[in-house]
Amino acid sequence: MDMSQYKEMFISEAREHLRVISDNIVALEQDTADREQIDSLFRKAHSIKGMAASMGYDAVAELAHKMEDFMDQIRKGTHAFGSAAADLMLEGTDQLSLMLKDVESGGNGGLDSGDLLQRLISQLPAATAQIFELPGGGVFEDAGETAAVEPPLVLSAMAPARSEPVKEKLETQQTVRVKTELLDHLINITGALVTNKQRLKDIGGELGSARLDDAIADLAKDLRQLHNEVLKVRMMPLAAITERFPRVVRDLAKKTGKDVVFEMEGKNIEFDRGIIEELSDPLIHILRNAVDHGLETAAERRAAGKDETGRIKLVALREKDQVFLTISDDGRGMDPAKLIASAVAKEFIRPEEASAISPRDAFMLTCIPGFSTASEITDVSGRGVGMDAVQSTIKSLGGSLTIESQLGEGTRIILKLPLTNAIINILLVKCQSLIVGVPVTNVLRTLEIDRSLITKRGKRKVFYLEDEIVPLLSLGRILGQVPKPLTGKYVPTLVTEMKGLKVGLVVDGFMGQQEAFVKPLGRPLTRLKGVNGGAILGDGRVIFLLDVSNLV
Amino acid sequence: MSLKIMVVDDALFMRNLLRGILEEEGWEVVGEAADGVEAVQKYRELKPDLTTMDIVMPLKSGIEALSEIIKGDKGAKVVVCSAMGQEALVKEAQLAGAKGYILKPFDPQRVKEVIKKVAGR
Repeated sequence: MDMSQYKEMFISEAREHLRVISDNIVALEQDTADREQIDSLFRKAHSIKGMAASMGYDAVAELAHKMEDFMDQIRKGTHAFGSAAADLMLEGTDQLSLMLKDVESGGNGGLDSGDLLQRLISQLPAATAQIFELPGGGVFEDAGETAAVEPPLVLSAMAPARSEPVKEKLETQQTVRVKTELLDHLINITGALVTNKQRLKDIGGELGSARLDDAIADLAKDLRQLHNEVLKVRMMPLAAITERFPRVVRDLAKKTGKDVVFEMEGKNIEFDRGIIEELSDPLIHILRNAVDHGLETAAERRAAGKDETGRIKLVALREKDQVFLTISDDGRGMDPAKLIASAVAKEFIRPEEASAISPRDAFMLTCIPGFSTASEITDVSGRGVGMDAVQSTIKSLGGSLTIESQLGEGTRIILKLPLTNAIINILLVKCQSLIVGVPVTNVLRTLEIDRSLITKRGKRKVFYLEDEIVPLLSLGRILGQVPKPLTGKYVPTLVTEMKGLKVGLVVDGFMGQQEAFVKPLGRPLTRLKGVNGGAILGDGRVIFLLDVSNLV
Repeated sequence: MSLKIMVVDDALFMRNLLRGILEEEGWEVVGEAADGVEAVQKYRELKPDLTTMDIVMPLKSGIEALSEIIKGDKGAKVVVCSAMGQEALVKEAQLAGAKGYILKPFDPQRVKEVIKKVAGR
């Protein structure tokens, strides 16, 4: 029988099982007697064994078999599930992952597992004697009679516990596989249609034909529907990237000697592929920060009258076309005064500016490149990517990041993200002869400031936005245009956030909002700082989309 | 011999593999179930000529499901699927009323022989 047709299915299902196993192990570490998790872990190892044996991947089957036997000891209560057991099972899981990779690249999974097998075997009772051997299949002569004669053997030793039901059925619904390329084509075509609709709308405006306008309105409705459907196809659940997270938190907690419980909610919330692929690194960085810097050691927590076990939670919540991702810890929290003092000491802000910084903005100082000092950098959180990188990634996706923290109680990082960033709403901004687009999600507000209300602080122009002092920058100057003095009584300004701080960008005018299909820039334009992509307007003009957070 | 078979296994891979073997012989797989609870329910709906039943499954083990099926249909023809090293379970399944067994990894020839024999009785 040709088994190659089953290979892909084997790999994907075995991977899914490994993911569940990994979750089970981490959950068991937090509640070592959780029967459901123990049973599930056992069953998954058992399944992998059977599948691998069917495919003829003997090494995979053997390792899974030993893991299954080990878990059976735990089921029976011979062993407790301590952290040594967790380590051993995780090691097995990692090794199985490597084996699957080998299978994927054409091997048979026959990697050397070192002494792992021996270490698993050493946990098993010496005599796992087979009671009898059976050939590969057979027919019972008469079940009824045999039952009467022979006493039951090892009854229900392997039967799953009849406790709470576990919901883990695999979907058997009809699905097709498509290449991701095809999905990209679909969104490209849809984007082109959106551009064309805009063009028709512009022409319709000039002609003043009610019939044409009606037709375009219908077209716009259908296009919106098409757009939604295409986006749906491109959607991936957050779970696609979060599967590693419990493990990341667990390993880091172990390394730093902290007790951590990690919980996730909302893993089924879906994002566009283009967004989800960018989210993994920022989230891992935030989680690492939470374990490494956010949470105290058990001793510190005890001294502070807290539960020794720290808690970290990742929650995803969808609200209309936005998702809020919140990562919270119940650790030591941040002290705004210290952050401000540190920012002054490092000359990121002037002493006279310090008093005007609100606590909320003080937390955002951590997003300034180079803010975290060498002494704060430990070998786990590492150098290179800091909160600044996290923030600029989130911004470039059209999202925003806020930090809330309460000294002694914990820190919460909130990422607000769009579900998709392929077709977005942009604000068209005029800057001398240039028109640029700014994603609406990056615009806090637009206003026309009375010129007399613009004052100077040191060398910098500022204005008051409600009670806040907001610095003003000229977008034209940033874009390299010849500076030109402010005339007119009112100064058109868009308020946005840069490096965690509110900034007013002075422009020459606003030209309205519209849907745009964002196209990535080709090289060498990709190296342009502060520019995120391009879009074609209805009249055929090509505009740049600004990545405001990285403009300066 | 035309046969309507239901395949029960919690692994999609295994269900597909068995389906492949059974369909090769011209038999019809009328339904699949991924756990013991679904198996009992679908058995009632589909009334297959024969059922292959994995033993280690979530929600309800294959042996429990098998007992329930037999309780509702004395003549139910159920062949259990087990793995090497779990002969004790096969014995247990026999006591619960299974008519035959097949062991993973499946030997397609053997699977077909066992099914034919059980179905022919």
